[in-house]
Amino acid sequence: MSPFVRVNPGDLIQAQNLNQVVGSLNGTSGQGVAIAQTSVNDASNYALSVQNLEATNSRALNVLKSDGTLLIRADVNGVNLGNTTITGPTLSLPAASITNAELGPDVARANQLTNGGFEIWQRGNGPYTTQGAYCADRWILQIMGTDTLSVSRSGAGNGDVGSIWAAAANFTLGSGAGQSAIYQQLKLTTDNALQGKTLVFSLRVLVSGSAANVTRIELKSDGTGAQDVFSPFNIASAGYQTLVTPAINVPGNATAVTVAVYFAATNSTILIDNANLVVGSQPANYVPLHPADDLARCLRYYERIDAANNQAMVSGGQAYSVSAMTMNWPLKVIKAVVPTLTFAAGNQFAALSAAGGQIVGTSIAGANTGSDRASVTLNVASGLVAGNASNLIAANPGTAYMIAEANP
Amino acid sequence: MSVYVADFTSDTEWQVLHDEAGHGGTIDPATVKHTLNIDGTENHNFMVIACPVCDSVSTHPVGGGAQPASVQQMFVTHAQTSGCPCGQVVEGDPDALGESHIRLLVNRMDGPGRWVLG
Repeated sequence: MSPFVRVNPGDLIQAQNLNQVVGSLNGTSGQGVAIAQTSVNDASNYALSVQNLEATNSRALNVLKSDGTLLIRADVNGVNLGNTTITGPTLSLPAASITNAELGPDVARANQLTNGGFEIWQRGNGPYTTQGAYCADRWILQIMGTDTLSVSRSGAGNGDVGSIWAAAANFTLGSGAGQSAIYQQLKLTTDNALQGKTLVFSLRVLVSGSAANVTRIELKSDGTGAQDVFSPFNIASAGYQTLVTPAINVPGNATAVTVAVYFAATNSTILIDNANLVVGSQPANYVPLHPADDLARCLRYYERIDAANNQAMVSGGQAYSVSAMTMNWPLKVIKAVVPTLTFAAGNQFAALSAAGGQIVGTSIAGANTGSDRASVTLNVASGLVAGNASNLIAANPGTAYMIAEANP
Repeated sequence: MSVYVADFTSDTEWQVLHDEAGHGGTIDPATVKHTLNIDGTENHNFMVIACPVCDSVSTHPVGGGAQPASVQQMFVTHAQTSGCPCGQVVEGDPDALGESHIRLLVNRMDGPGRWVLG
């Protein structure tokens, strides 16, 4: 594209000189001349300003694509980028135009874990030190070799955001070679449905003494082409830090997804909090569930009734002989699978007698349990009346408990 | 968790853990029995195991409940050695028959994805 040719006073004007101008104005191919980049060296003025003095619409700029559709428009309605409108502080985007990869971590997304905040400790506050034992609800200890690991609930004011409680791990490295851990496993065959999904896992840690290289986190699944990925080790820091794994793609035939916190160096207090497993390639900040929802998730796997002496435990029982009664124990939440029922020794329970006294049990067991209710049979030496109603109560010395536990 | 078998040591001795209480011990496998229905018959879907230390008891469903691997193996071992109270498996039947019967019960209770034994 040649530049316009200047015509000096007295020069003969050739048709091509005029046609170049006309062609340029008409948009003839090869005739236009691009507007030169405006060069200024001015701290206060813009290189290019366009103003439409018409006050109603203020149509200042309209830039079209070759097909005539809108590329950029600036007027009183804001700036329109073809399919994206910016109006004052508001940005409007076409529906479904932001992919997961474009999201920031402050965009809340559903946490696939149960008790990711380590807020629920139905089994007690610890310390837990046994290989394979649960500590906080749904979190299991893995202790390898001669390592020792003690996990307890960390007191209020543990210092993390969006959290009341955390898990505090006291770890001593032996021969475990960095394989001791706390983990949670999601069973895809009977419980969670994450086959074919992309997942990413994050978790916050605070390591005493600002020690580095103490802990890291893992995300893995099984199945064809399964991935097993780790975050970097924690760095030296006096505050909480967030560890993030790479994302994995869960195979379609996967049966389990596991997240874990591994310990590689001796440390007296490793605070673990705000675990978050989300669908997508981008991690998301942990958002605490409402406590009712948090507890309901945990009750899907574990619930217990504890009672002091004479406190009622299950009502609506019926004696069917002088020495046995049966009752229905409706579970608080439907379980993931049919649960195991565990009871204190039979003499910790009693049937309520017709006179309001205790008929102390000799044995107790569950029967005909479903995922939503359990039948309980209490045997006593004698004193029941077949056909009479009764309640199950705690008996002296009063350490009665009943547990329903379903681990898919 | 529960009272469960940590080691099926022999025909006469199993090692039991009551992990929530932090203790365990040795039991005679013959003390692990099916629950009784109200009519007195045995229910092949449930078995009761007692802690030898504190007498707590766990009633395990054949699906596995709190400890799927241990519990399913307990039902399989029991069926292979003593048969099943429903009569489908009797003492002396091939081991595979006992295992297949228990797997059927597991599938019926918790669905086909629940079986964890090899």
